[in-house]
Order: sequence, then C-alpha cells, then structure tokens
Amino acid sequence: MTWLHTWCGLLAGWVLYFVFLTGTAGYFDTEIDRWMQPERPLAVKAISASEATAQGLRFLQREAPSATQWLIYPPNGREHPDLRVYWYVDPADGARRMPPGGVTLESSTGEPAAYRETGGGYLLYRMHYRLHYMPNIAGRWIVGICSMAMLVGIVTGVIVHRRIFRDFFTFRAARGQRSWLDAHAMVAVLALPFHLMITYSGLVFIAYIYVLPVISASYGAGDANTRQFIREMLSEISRPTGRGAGVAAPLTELAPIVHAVEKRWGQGQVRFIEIRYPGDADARVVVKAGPETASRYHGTEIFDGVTGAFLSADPPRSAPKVAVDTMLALHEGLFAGPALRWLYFLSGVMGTAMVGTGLVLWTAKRRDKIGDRYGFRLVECLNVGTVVGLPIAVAAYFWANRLIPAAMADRAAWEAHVLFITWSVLLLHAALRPPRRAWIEQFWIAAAAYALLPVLNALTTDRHLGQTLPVGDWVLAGFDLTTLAFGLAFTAAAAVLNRAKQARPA
Amino acid sequence: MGARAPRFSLAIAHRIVAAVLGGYAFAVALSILLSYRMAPPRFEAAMTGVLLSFFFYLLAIVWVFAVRSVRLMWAGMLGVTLVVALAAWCVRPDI
Repeated sequence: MTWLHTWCGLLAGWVLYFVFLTGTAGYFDTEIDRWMQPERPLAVKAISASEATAQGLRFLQREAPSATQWLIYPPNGREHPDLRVYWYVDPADGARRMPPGGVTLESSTGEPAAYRETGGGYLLYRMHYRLHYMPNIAGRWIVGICSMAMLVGIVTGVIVHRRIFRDFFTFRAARGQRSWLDAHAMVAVLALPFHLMITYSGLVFIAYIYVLPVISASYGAGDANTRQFIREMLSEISRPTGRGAGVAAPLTELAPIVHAVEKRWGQGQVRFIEIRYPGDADARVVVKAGPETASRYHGTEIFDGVTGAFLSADPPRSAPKVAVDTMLALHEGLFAGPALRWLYFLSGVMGTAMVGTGLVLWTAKRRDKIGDRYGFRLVECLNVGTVVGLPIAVAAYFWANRLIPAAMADRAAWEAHVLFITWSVLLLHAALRPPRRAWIEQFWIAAAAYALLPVLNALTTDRHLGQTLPVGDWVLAGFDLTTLAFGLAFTAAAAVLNRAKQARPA
Repeated sequence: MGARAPRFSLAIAHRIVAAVLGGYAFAVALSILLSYRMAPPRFEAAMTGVLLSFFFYLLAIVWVFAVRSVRLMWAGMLGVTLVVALAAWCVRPDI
C-alpha cells in the first residue's frame, strides 16, 4: 500500500499540482477576470433583467438577425457580472459567426465593451481540466488518469496512516523528513473531505470520456448518443437542429415573460433567456431561473415565442440526477457566498500543499540513499521548478496582463505563453543550480513576483489599492491584498530556508 | 503490505497491469451490469453506473495491491470480471 501511495503520488504529482493550483485560482475566476480587465468601470450601473433583455435583444437583432438561437445573460451576481449575449448561426448559413465567448455589452450603453483581450481567471480555471497546448480530449485524459491516481493516493494514504488522528495533532518542526511527513499528513487530513469530494466529482464531471462504455451500454455507441447523455447529465440546452417552421412571425414581447418568471422565482433570479428560431412561427423562449444551490438546480420555463404563452416547466428530477447535480454543484461551488468561497479557496490551497509536500517528501526520504542518482536529480528539479516555479509562472501571467500592450494582437494567447515560458525557465533554473540554492532563489523570486504585483498594478492602472480600498471595492482590493499575502508567505519561506542553510550548509 | 521494502519487480508489474487494465474492465463491467439491472429510463440507469464506476475501479486497484499472492490476485481479478461481464451480457436489454 505504501508503494502504491508513493508511486501514484509521485508520477501524477506534478500534473495534480498544476490541476489543484489552477483549479483553486478558478474559485475566484470572475474576480480575476475583473482584475485582468482594469478598463471595467469601478461601479457597474445596475439594470433590471428586463432592461438587460431589451438591450441584448436590440444588439442581436442588429448583429445576428439570421441566427437560429439567441442567448442573453443579464448581469447577475459574481458568476455573470456583465450583460453578455451569445448566438448560434447554422453552419450552412453564411451569416456572421459569433466571436468565441460571446459579446459583453456595457450596461450603460448596450454596446460592446472595449475591455482588453485576456484569458482572465477563466483560462486558469479551464486549464485545470483540459491543460493547455493540446487537444481538448488529450488534456482531459491526462487530467482524468492523474485524478484516478489521486483518488487511489487519498485512500491508500488513509490506509497507510493507521495513526491518522493522533498524527494529525503532531507536528515536529525543523526535523527534516519528519517535518515534511507531518506537514503532508496535516494538510491532507485537515481538508480530507474536500480532497475526496473534489477528486471524485472531478472524475464524474468528465466521466463521459473516462467510462464511455458504461454510457454506450444504455445509450448505444456513437457520438450522437453520447452527446444526448451529456445533455441530460448537464441539463444542457441542445442547439437548434432545424430552422423552425420557415414561416415568418414577429417575436413576442420579452418583458412580460421576464416579469412572469421573476414573479415566480424572485427579483434578479433570471439566469439567462434563450430565444430559439427568432422571427419564426415556431419560435420558443426558454428562461432559466432560480438561485445557485448546492444541488445545481435552476428552473427551466418555456414560452411560445410568438404569442408569449407559457408552455411548460421542468419535470421533477430523479434520484440519480439529483445525485450528479449535487456532486457537480459541490465541485464548482457556484452557490458559495464570500465566506464559503474563501473556505473553498483555502481547501484548494491545502490540496495544492498536500501534493507539494508529498512531492518534497519523496526526495527528503531518499536523499541519503540515492541522492546522487539521475532519477533523483530529475525529481528534485521538477519539484523545485513546479512547487515554487508554477506559482511564479502564474504571477508572471498576471504581470503579462499589465505589461503586454492592451491593443497588441493575440495578447490573450501571449499572456498564457508567458506563463509557460516562465515555468520552463524556472525548471531550467532548478536544473542548473544546486538544489538548496534553487529552492531559496525561487522562493525569493516568488516573494517578489507576488508582493510587487500591487505595485505594478498601481503603476500601470488606476485600479490600485489607493483607489479600490477607499471605495470598498473588495473584489479588486481583495486580489491585490491576496497577492500581497502570498508575497509575504513566500518571503517567510525563503527566510526560513535561508536560515536553515546557514545553520547547516548543504 | 508487509514490512519489507518492495522493489520494482515482476510481481509489481503484474499488479500494475492487473490494477490499471483489469480494474478498469471490472469496474466498467460491474457498472454496466448494475445499470442493466436498474429500472428504465435509460438516463437514470446509465448515470447510476457512471457515478459508481470510479468507486468500483478504486476498490479493484486497492484490492489488487492488497492481495498477498500474485496468482490469487490474477485468478480473482479475471474470474470475477468474467462472471460479471457474462452476467451483464445475459441481462442486456435491446437498444
């Protein structure tokens, strides 16, 4: 069992560290989005769902008149802070295609917002399940295999650790290998329910790739059948397949529909409005509404797109559907308010730390025995360059956001390139420097990269702490304060390591 | 699980293959059997199987590394997977 724990952890460790780190950042994805687009107004003009719908509709009628599907997301809480519209054009139609990610409209004007192009927090979030620079499917397979190794690692970790409860209260500081073991056990046990939940639900999220045969056994083989299952599992709305009745008919007024839905679900509870076959006699208006909950439930209401008559609402959910909805909701944590969101973030940090300490523990245990072997050296380089190097690379991603000219072509892609170039350079640095020096130097780089981010922000934008704190903008101020805190933590780590080195030169 | 430090050996290679491939086959077969035994509709049947499949896979992997003898491990892994797969084949519905 120890063997299984060690090798599952080591071989999947670096990928898992990347997944945990980017996924943890993903819990603040829209907050990071906002920081990475400093052009956004400090205070957004609040508009009602029906006003937002009218603005979105006006834009879509002008820009995408021949689309078979329009989607309007009114500004709504942290997940959808902006008014955003999407549309779908039948591929056979030569009409204007939607830019990926839809179009963000400024709620004061109803016109497209001119924010800088950025991957934002969304890109970090997306990397945690499909990595980067590779086909979607390949990334998901790698993450899936490593997640399964993680699940095995968690369970074997508990089995190996017979004195798990007592050891949890044990921390032997400054004892080398024992300290790493204690730290590893502590972060693992402290957030054990989170680690188990996040790993298992992560596998379920993309199960339609991993255990495809189980789905095919009931749905039949082939892409179309699999897609049907995915739609049912994720309660996705399918794309329109036809072109409607082919008879023109004016679209119904949307305001009464929005009002009717808000009356049932409450003010500000409209998630999005979908208009299918706009301008056709078969038009439908689909409204998703309801609060984010721990079981991912939103009501779907369907209206006739010509008469505006109410047609149908959701059928009740079955037990397996509620089970999977709950798992996915717990994984995403969209329902979490500020306090719970921070708890999610801290649990994610502990997951990252669990993987990181495990990786370091592998080398601490073996340094005396095989410290001069090539394999050992390789693990050590990957450890330094990833455990500290990756956080630095993420900081570099933020630096790139401020330093790459706002109007440069492909700037969003270059932000990501900077992340991976930095990571590569730090892996190289770890290979060229003596191990202990490499740790200390990279901790100092990390300290500077994070602690100076608020300074860079102040030099390049007017969305700095001097502005955001007085107006109480806790999203923007929170970003700067968090990076400052990480900067201090890395400084402390560097200082401690430095002192240890002077006491006992490597 | 003993006190001796296991080194990479043929026995370990056997267990890795059995855990990764055998465990997957076992987990998928058992999940399919379970979904066939569920009442329709098909979404609930397939979803139940999917939700439990990773748990079955996990059990199989841990078991493969917990059993003392490699011979017993293979016999158990192949035997049980075969029986489960056969059972699933016998109760398959028409789709």
